[in-house]
Amino acid sequence: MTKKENLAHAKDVVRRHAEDQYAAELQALAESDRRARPPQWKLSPWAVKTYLLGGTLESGFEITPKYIGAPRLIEIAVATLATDRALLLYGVPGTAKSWVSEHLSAAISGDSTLLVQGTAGTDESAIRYGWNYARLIAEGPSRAALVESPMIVAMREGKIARIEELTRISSEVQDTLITILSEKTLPIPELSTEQQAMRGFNVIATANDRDKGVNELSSALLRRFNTVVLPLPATLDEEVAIVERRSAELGRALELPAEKPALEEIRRIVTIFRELREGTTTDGKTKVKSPSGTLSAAEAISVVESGLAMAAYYGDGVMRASDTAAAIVGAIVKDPVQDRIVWQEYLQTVVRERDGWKDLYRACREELG
Amino acid sequence: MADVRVFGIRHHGPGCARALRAALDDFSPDCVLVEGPAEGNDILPFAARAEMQPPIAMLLYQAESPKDAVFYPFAVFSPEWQAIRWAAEKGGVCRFMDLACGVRWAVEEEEKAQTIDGANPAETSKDVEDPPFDPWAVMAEAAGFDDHEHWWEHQIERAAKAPDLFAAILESMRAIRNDAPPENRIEAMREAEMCRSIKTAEKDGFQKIAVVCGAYHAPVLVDRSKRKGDAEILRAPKKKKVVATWIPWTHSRLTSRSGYGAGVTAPGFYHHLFVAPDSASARWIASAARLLRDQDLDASSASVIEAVRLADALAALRDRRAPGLSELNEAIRSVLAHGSDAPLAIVRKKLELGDVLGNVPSDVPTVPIARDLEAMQKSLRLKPSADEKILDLDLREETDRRRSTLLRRLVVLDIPWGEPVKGQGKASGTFHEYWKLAWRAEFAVRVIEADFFGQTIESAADAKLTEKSTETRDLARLVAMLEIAVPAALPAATSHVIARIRESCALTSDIETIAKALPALARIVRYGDVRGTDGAVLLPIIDGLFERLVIGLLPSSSSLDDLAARKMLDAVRGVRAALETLKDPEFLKRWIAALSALADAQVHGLLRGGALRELIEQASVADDEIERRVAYSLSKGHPPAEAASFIEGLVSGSGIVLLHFDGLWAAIDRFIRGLDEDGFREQAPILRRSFGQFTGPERRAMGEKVKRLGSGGIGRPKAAAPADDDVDPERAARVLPILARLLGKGSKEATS
Repeated sequence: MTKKENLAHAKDVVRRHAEDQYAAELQALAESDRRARPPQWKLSPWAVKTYLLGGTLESGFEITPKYIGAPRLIEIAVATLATDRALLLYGVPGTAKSWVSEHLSAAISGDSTLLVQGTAGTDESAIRYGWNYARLIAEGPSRAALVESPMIVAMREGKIARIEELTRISSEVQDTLITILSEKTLPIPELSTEQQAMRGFNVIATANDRDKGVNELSSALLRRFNTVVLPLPATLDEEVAIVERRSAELGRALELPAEKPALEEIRRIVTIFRELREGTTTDGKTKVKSPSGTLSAAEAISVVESGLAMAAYYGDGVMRASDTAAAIVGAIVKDPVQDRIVWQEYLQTVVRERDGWKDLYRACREELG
Repeated sequence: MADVRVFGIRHHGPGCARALRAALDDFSPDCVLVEGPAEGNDILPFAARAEMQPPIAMLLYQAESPKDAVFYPFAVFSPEWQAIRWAAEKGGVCRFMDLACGVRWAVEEEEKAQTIDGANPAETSKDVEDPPFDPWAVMAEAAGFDDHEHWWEHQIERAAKAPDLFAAILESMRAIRNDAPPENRIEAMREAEMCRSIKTAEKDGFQKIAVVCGAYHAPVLVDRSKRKGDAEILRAPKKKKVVATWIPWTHSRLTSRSGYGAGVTAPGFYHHLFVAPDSASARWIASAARLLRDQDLDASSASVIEAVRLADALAALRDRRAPGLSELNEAIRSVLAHGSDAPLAIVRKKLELGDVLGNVPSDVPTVPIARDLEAMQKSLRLKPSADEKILDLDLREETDRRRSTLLRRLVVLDIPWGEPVKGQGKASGTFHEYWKLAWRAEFAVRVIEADFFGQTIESAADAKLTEKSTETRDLARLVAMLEIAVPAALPAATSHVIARIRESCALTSDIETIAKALPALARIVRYGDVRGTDGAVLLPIIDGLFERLVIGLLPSSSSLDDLAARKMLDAVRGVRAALETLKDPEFLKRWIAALSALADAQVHGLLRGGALRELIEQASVADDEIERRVAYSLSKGHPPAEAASFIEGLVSGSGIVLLHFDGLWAAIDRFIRGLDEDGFREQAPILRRSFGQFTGPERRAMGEKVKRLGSGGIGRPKAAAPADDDVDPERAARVLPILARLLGKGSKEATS
């Protein structure tokens, strides 16, 4: 069971839950929030929106933006949850779907841990309930012998349940959700009882349309969700802002001794990713081939992160081309044959020609060997 | 002293329109002055008629050059239209008060003449309604909105009641304008004229005068008593003669995208807001759902309910009074379209723009030709509609034939109401024609332009085509015109074009042009049969042209380069179609003779091959003749390039010849095998070009032929049985009973 017994050692965990990491922000928001809150919500929809998009409170308290992108998407997501409709966040990998889902549940329920991770092996008991067989045999069917899923906990406590990678779950298991979403109840026929959802219960699911082995959502299920498609960052500046902010946060979490990431270096990485992803250079003059990977903002973040670590441990603390080259090549060259050709072409035709990119070109050449 | 109230409005604002109506009810003026050119006053009474259904536009054009025209569009949600209707319903007097268009044009012309050196050419913007400076954008920006449409919708249109709306508009415009003078001479004249019109109305003894004008002008009109020197401002050159009329308009032409300056983004939505202000969201989403259902997309009532809830929640989250278009669209995208943009594009096209076409009474004064067109449309039951639709015409039917004629004549007049499309599916013979119909609002102007040529569609099209035909001597273009004239049943133009063709024929010595003209002429003769037009007049011309062709073919085929030879070959091939259409044995015989001569002459290989191919197609050459010619052309004496062109001319198009003439096959085979490496490399592209055009089945058949020729040599019969060396008859026989049972014959055999 995902209980927070290690709350005392929260500082020691690799990745803190959103509600822990941003506890101060959530509290400040709750204090200044005077607008109507839907039942069981910790914050009003307006405050949730501010939490996600950032802003300055009346008290002067600064809320950091969690999602950088079109505000209307967050507005639709919050409005959806306020009308107790389930929310489906959809999009290509690395577009902050899980990130948004985690922060929404942290802001609304104060708890982002009621999570069902969708995999090809996820079975019904992960969504409904399982049995403690020792107890079941010893005492017969009883509520005590029931192993509750995060879903059932969320229903009982009136919180948000999260389902990650909904499309990876097999169709039969997906359909278990239909009753929960439309009847807002989960029958437990073995005990002739049911778990009805308390007010405040809702479901946020994420799904992506790119990875292989995806189980299409049935239209019956799709109908029960409001869909919000999260796009790849629209502009270079937006993407740079995302990468910079996230890698700074991660660097802090990992207690990297490196300096604040160099904006110029990040801009270069994001530019490379965008150009390869879109198949054309920023000035629109040169066509480039696209590699097999998605090259999302999330991958750019991990490149910067590893560059920071390299700079901190093996370099002089300032992130340079030589620190990021290995990670860039690793992120782009997923297929050793095809992607390598794509990358080499890009290096020769674009990187080499660009003013001030000589260091990056040399570092990447060395990396390729 | 008369009570004058100025109502500053935003053009095409439904909330404004509603508020204006309420304000007029409250004020009940005996005279309503509306911003619009003085020439419109003559046709203003038509606005009272029930047949007037917006969207419509007032069209003003210069009597001597109808191309110079402006439109004043009105939708049902235009405040101006509501003011006009209010006056009509309550029996008040309504007048247009703006500067006459004739004056405006005269001034513009004068200014253009002054700046003719090009230092600062006057803008020739067509929209007269709005100053380029947008006061609303300033206010929206001040209120923190990025888009002034949003701001306006939020502030005014969706406001439940706005009793002090006009006072507020006046106040804010005063602040924005801050006594700024009008930005150019025309604007200054317009404001002076509007003030003068108000004065005239006061003099005429009206007690309560309502003035409806664009908000930007409102402060000036309110403070008109302070004005001086209007007479000076209004001094203008002699005004142009202007004709005014009403024409039907479309919603899509009301959008700013269509180039209309005072346009709105979503006329369909505004119309919807005006017609059903109370349950706007629910109705809008429900109509969207119906639309999606028509496209076979899932859109249940349950989803509609959820979408409405989401839109409301979004509006609340954004602190808006009611969902606007953006909230509604986002809700539709999220709930009904599952996050996809494609269904939303349908909603945008059909609902937001909405292909609505207005209607005007039939006795609105207009040019005679428009009247004629209307009469035709009525008698042929072809209603103009902005919706695209496909019309299937059966040319054996009298009405359909006349419809086709009308559409063709309109095409001649540059009014492409119908666009011919290729036959779809079942009935695509010569008796059927398919047209894609879509009436566009701008056609109204073209109809008026067409009036120059004649008073009826027929006479105008006739005259226009006749005029066009005198401008050219080019045979190809004349024939193209004839192809238009005959099916459009334009007698004068037809005989004129034929006369021109005859003249042109005498002058044309270019065989290629003649050969290209023949198929078209032959087609016209054939059409004559279907349509009841007499194509016989063309026969003498065809005779003459054919004569020249036969005589000139050989001389003009010699010493051509690759490109010219290719063109000539195309022309020669076209003649076959013409002869097939004409079905004249005499022509055919002479053509074959000409082709035989060509096939034996020392001309470009392509032509020689092509001529031989034509002969084979006409089945007028013996097999041994073919083989002789092929062997000759491919023999070593000819340079390889020449031989390869010959092959291209011979086989390109279809591979049937190759499959049927083993001798031909063998000759080509020999030729290719005889090439040395460099020679092969040189000829490969040409050969590839010839063989690359064959269809899949042909190539497969050729492959099989290669196999067959390889194993058994040439001359082996085509339908030879497969080799039966390895079959063990005894074992094969064991299958037979089962086979018989499978075929259902088992029991019978057994008993018999």
